[in-house]
Amino acid sequence: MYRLGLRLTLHSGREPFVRLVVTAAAVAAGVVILLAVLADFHAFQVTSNRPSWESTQGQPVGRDYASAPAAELWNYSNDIYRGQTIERLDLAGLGPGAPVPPGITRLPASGQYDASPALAALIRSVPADELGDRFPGRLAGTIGQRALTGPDELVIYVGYAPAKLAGLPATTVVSKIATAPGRQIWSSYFRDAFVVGAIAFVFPILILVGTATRLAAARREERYAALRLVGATSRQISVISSVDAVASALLGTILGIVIFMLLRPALADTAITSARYFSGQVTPTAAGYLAVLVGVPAASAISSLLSLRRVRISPLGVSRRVTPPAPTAWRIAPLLAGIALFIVGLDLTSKKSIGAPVFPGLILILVGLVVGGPWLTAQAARLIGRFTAGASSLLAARRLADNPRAAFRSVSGLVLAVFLGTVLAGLLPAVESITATPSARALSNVLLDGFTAAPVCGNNVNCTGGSGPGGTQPGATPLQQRIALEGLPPRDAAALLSGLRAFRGAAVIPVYSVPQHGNSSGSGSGGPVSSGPGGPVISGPGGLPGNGIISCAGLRELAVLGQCAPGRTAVQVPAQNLFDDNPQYSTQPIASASSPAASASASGLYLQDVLVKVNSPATLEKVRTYLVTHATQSASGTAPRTFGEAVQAREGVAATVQRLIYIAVLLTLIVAGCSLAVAVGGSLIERKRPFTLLRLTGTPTSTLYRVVFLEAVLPLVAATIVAAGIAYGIAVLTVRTMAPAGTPAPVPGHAYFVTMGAGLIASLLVILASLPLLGRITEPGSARFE
Amino acid sequence: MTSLNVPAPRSGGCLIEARDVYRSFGHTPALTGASLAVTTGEILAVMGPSGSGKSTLLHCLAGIFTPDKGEVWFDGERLDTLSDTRRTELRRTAFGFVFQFGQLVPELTVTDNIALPLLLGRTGRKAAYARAAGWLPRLGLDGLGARRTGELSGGEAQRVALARAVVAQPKVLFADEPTGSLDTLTGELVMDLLVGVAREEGTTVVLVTHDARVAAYADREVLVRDGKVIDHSDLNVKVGQ
Repeated sequence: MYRLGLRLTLHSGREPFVRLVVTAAAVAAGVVILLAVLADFHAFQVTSNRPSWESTQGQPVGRDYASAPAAELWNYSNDIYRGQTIERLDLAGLGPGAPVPPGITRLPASGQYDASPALAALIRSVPADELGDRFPGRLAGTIGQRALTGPDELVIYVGYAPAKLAGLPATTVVSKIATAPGRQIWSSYFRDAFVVGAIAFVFPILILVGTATRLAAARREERYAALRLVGATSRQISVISSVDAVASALLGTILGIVIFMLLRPALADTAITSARYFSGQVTPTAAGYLAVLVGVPAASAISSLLSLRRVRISPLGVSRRVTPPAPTAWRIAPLLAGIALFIVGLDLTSKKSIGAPVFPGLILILVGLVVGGPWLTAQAARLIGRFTAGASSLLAARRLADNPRAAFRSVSGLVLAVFLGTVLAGLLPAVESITATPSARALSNVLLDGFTAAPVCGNNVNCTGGSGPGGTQPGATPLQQRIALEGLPPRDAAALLSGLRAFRGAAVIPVYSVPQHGNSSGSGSGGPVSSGPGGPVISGPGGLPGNGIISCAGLRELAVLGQCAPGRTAVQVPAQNLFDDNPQYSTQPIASASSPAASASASGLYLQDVLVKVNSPATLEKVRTYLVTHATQSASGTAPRTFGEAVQAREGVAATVQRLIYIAVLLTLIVAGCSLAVAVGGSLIERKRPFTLLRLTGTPTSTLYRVVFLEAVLPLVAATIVAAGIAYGIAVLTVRTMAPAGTPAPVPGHAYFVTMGAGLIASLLVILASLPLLGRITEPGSARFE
Repeated sequence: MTSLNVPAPRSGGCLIEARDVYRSFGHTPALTGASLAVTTGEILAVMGPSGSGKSTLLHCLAGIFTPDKGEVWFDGERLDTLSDTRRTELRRTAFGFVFQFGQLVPELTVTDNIALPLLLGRTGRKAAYARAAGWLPRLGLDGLGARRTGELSGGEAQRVALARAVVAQPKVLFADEPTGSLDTLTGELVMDLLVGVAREEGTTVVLVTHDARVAAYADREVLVRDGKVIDHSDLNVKVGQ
């Protein structure tokens, strides 16, 4: 029976062969996309699970640090170049047994550094005063793949003498390098985004496979009836049908795998998340290949067997198809449950969970749209049938009502794409409005560096401050304590500011610390010291810790931070607000007409922070390089950055999720488009006879065109409106629950309407493109019914 | 039997006429100079063995096929040179069709199928359904109006097809093996109804069949062989009258 099935599939003439090719092509398209997703997910998993040397924890540097021979000193920090993060590890071996970080074979000596290939190329290609000068010494070697997440990662190991490195803040003693995967806070969100995206287009891929498998099912069934006439059993018919389905699906799967392998290098070269993965990792696993090779033909066989259930193939022909029962209203239960679950998830979400509880509801809504779609289609068909008069709408409405499942199946992928795209388009403006505020944008080219030992900041993403060696450690001298609290001493400050002012295109605005009690002359220890959340506090008159003095002329350069009252030359401001980890708050005005006046003279004042407004990316990097090399290394672990870079870092996660979702939407549109084309074409072939007879009996071709058009457009429009409406409602609820009060209601940008409009127009074009086929195959002149 | 071309009467009674029509499908000739005239109100049976070209002749007379050579006339107007749009319109307004099987739209109900030609002809929805419903009792289809055609028996489906063919009051009814898929008794019932309706409505009928019992319902019988109309008999006595 298997051999007969194969023979019938491969050697039955032109039409079955064309059907085989079309089915294989459709399956191949779906397989290519499926393998691409599996490949990227595998790369993401491998990268997430690699040993995270960056997570290595060490011990504080004690006085006897040098007596640990099998250890080394580590100082891990982040630098930035043109928006790209550079992971920097300053290290100094304490003996021959010191552990070697991954990617290199020996520790770099003092005056040497090892860089990742991408960073080495960057250092070679850009002016030294913009980047290379930050790293003392010369390039000694390349860091290998084991230490990196991708070919574009910028990593550097800088060798130091132990005594020098021990004196820097945040240096630790490390005797064992971490090998466990890093616990990235956003990994689970990326994983969830992958899952959501995968569900969104696994459905269309399965539908494409199923639709292609059912191509011209009626004509195959007539053949099966002939086989039954000569004695084949129902079971044998099922076998033949399965062989037919599996053969075309297997051919398509193999073709898809071959095409994927040819396209894999291009895929590896594409940054799906924020950066590329290593080419060798962008591949499905062997299990993934096997799952596709077995799963797709199996899905096709199952689809074929399921479609046979609707018909009884008897020796006398295909028995009358029993009209399937209309979808009941229970079909929208998953959709409603998903909405309810989403609302509950929103209620449960908090700043810590950051939305994780809403994912089950979101996934259930996606499932619910697919399950409830046929019911929505049936209702739309009933409305159309009731309120329109023409023959074409009658034919279309009845056909949709007769089998709304089949009608919705061909557009379900498009509906999911609309849903995801609308959610994203609704949320993004809110994310942008609370991150990239107008004031943040106005300060996007302003770099901030702080020089106190304990900067007030929420996390390393935005924190730039912190300088002064060991200022808060036990045994620190009064001067060291003062430096830790108030920043750079006057002479050091003057030298630094002079160097900064030498850069063309840089406007330098210093912020001096308000002198504490007894410290106005720059000497003395001030009031009693106590511990506070931000570090040691000198209590007493002189202002709160973090208050600074800024010139009114400087404020005029940074207009969004406020203005002085007329006649004043300098004011006191709460400068610690500049270090908030949310750009929405860090760029709020700090000065106003009521800000206390201060002396414009900087004589004797310690430099707390400096703001540098730059006019170009090159100037920014030169200023940053200067600060990194001339100010004592930051204790916060981050090089100074602009407010714009802080916004970019904060938006980075949202941008990555957005990219993943848009890619999912695009892939879904492609797959769904193929599915729609196959479904429309297949339905025309299946209805060749009744359509031809309608034409024979005087039905104009234009009427039939309208019928086909309405059958495809009605479910698309009905389900799209519902999906977009639900998605927008979700966006509104999310913004109301999670965004700060006053965040504007989500309004999708023009890009959303352009994208969705283009997708819908492309769908309409697919439908319209099938109409000439309708005209050709239903030519009365070619009707032969003898 | 001699090979004759049936003379083409040019009197006022001639409604539809084929003059020396040739039609081939690829290299296979189906009609090789067929001529035939049908008078108004006549029930004509076109007989012949399988592959003789009788269905092709019917399709040429109905404007479905355009002859390779020759002429087809309908009601004083040349049919074969009309545009496809005009011929489609004629098929919708002036002709009715009953085929052997597979002619109803399965998603539509019985009443929907019958009303379809009227809806296509821009008759108002209410009026179309009222007229369609009026045919149900005439053809023994009481109570079946809401049924889908897939749920009907063969005889019931053919009666629905007949109702649909005549609801627009066509001038000519073309029937191609209308009882070919029915048992004898059901076939007779369908033919009784077909002929009865044609007489009542004054509809001309061109009936293609290989069954002599069906041909016996006709006023006149012609035979098609090898693409030509080669025999002609004038039946004065009709079965059932």
